[in-house]
Amino acid sequence: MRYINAIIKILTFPGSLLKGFWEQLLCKFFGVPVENKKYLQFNEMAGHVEHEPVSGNKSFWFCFVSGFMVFITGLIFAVPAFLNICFLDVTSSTLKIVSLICLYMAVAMFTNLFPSIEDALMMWEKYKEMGKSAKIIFAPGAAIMYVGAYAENMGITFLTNAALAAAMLLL
Amino acid sequence: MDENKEKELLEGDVEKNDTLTEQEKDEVSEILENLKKSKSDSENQVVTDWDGLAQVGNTDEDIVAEETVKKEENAETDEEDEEDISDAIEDELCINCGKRKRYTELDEDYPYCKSCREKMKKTRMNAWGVLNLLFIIAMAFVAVVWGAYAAGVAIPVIKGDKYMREGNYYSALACYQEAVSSVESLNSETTGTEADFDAGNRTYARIIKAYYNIGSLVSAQDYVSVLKEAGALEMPRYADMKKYSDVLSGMADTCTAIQTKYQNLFMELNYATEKKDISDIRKELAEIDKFKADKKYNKYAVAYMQVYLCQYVENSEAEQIKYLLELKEGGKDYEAIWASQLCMLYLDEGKFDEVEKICNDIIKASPESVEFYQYLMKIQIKKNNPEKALEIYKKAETTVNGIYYSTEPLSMPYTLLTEKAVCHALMGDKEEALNAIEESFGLNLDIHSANIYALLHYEYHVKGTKPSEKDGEKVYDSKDNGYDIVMGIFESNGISVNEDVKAAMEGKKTLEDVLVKGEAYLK
Repeated sequence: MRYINAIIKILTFPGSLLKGFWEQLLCKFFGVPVENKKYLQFNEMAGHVEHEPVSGNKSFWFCFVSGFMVFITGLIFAVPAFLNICFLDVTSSTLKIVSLICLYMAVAMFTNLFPSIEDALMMWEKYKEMGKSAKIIFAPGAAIMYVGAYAENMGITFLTNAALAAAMLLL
Repeated sequence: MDENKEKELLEGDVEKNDTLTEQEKDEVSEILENLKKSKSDSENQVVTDWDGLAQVGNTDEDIVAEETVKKEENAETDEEDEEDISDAIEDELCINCGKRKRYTELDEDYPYCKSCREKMKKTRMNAWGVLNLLFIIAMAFVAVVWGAYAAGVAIPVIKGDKYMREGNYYSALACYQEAVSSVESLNSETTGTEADFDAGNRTYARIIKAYYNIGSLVSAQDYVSVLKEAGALEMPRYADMKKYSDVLSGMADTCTAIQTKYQNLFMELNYATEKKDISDIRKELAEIDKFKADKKYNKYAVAYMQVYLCQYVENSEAEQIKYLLELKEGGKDYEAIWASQLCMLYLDEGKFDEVEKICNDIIKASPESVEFYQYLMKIQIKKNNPEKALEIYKKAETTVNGIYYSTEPLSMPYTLLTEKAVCHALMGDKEEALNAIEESFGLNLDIHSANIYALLHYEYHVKGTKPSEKDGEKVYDSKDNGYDIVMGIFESNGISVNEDVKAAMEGKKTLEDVLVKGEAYLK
């Protein structure tokens, strides 16, 4: 499974590098020591930085902010790609090429939204320690990130995104 | 710790600190002291009296050999001990710098010292990550710029889609065409020889669909050709468009085939000095009828050609209705061909219920089809209910005001304004009638409207007055010259004024005789 994950991370390198970049930046911000700053490795940590566990509620924001920033970047690429390819179906070759590149970038971003399983587990542990009201507020985000981390590790997010992109192109 | 991480740390990613503080030196010496002490303790335990006892009875050679073996064994043990010591030292020292005690306060197995940990917090950003970020920023800029262009086209299309869902197909069409115009203006601004922007095949498909929904598929011919040229019709997403394209091409092929075969007949009817009667072309109509059984031809196009032929001859109303009803079976695909014409023929026949049904069905399906309000107005006029006709006009006016149009507010169709003028004339509102017909005249003119214009101007401006002379020519309409202008148009086009209108001008018929009891459309 880790090889599949690593291959996917390499295929979607703009997204995995960006995700790693945001994780490292957040490590700096939260004062978390980074053990290995290589983003693209051939193991389960591909697309992430190796760092010490993030303590307290910071772990939620660490997972959320890095994923959210990649998501926003993905949206920037997804909107023109969707408009030109799916909504308008442009015929101009220049527009088509730019739109296809945008589509690839969007897939690359949306495939790298979730935290590593280690981070997700840590975040989940900290989430369980939260108060009742905080639990309710953070429940959707925590659940999505927790499930998403496993889905991403198994390549499900990549398959979903690739299928959506194919549907946009073919249907 | 994996190889990569070790390599990275050894490469100095996390910088080694060579200067130890006094406290750190003490800690390290303490570790070394403890290790030495434990080593000497273990050596003392190994040397016992049993060694001397074991040598009793042995020869000198044996003793020498045994001692040699022992020395070798001791040397091996020393090496192992040294390894154990270095392992033990490694276990207690930071794996990065190898000089300081591990920061075990945090975690028992924590592999780094406090100093290295602090440095790891300040690790420099990954160069590839930074480069990738710059690349993404550049790409995002391109995406935003092209996305803005795409949005410029997509926004009117989205608006059009909303109108389509509401059944306001004319507004939808205006929105889609606005999108196409925005792309055209964008391309005219760019200097490149090849157009870089286009509204997209889906926009053209939407325009075709809107035309189909307003029952005017034939008007979408140009857009169907665009899709055909782009090879889009073979794609599954354009299955609908393929159907429309087949209808249009089937129709064109059939019409061409019939026109080619009956070329002489068409020429004869077109250039005949006297209008022929339906009985003169019955034989040809029957021959053409046989095309309908041949699957090679579009049967609705055949019916359309029969209607077309009938229009050249007199007394063909019954045949026209018959063929138009056949076309009606073709539904929306041919609505533009049959609906208006059938309404006009039914009005002349006095079949008001049929007209009402057709108009109401069409307005229900496409509320913005204002042209059909004129037939509903005509029904009321024919029933001598000009007030009710004006109520219908107001409905039409509200509808027109609601139709979206990008550049300027949409004006009322001139046909409806003519009927409004008729209503006011019947109600005796001279000014309103003249204003309405003037407005209609300003927009467009057909034979019916020109006759109404001439009749009203005669009635209100010329009747009972004497013609004046200007530049040696008689001027009948001294108020606004309207009557003279329209009569001049009739004359210059070689068209004579309608017989009923002529009779009214001669005082043989009243306005009511012409407008209520006369033809629905003055020819």
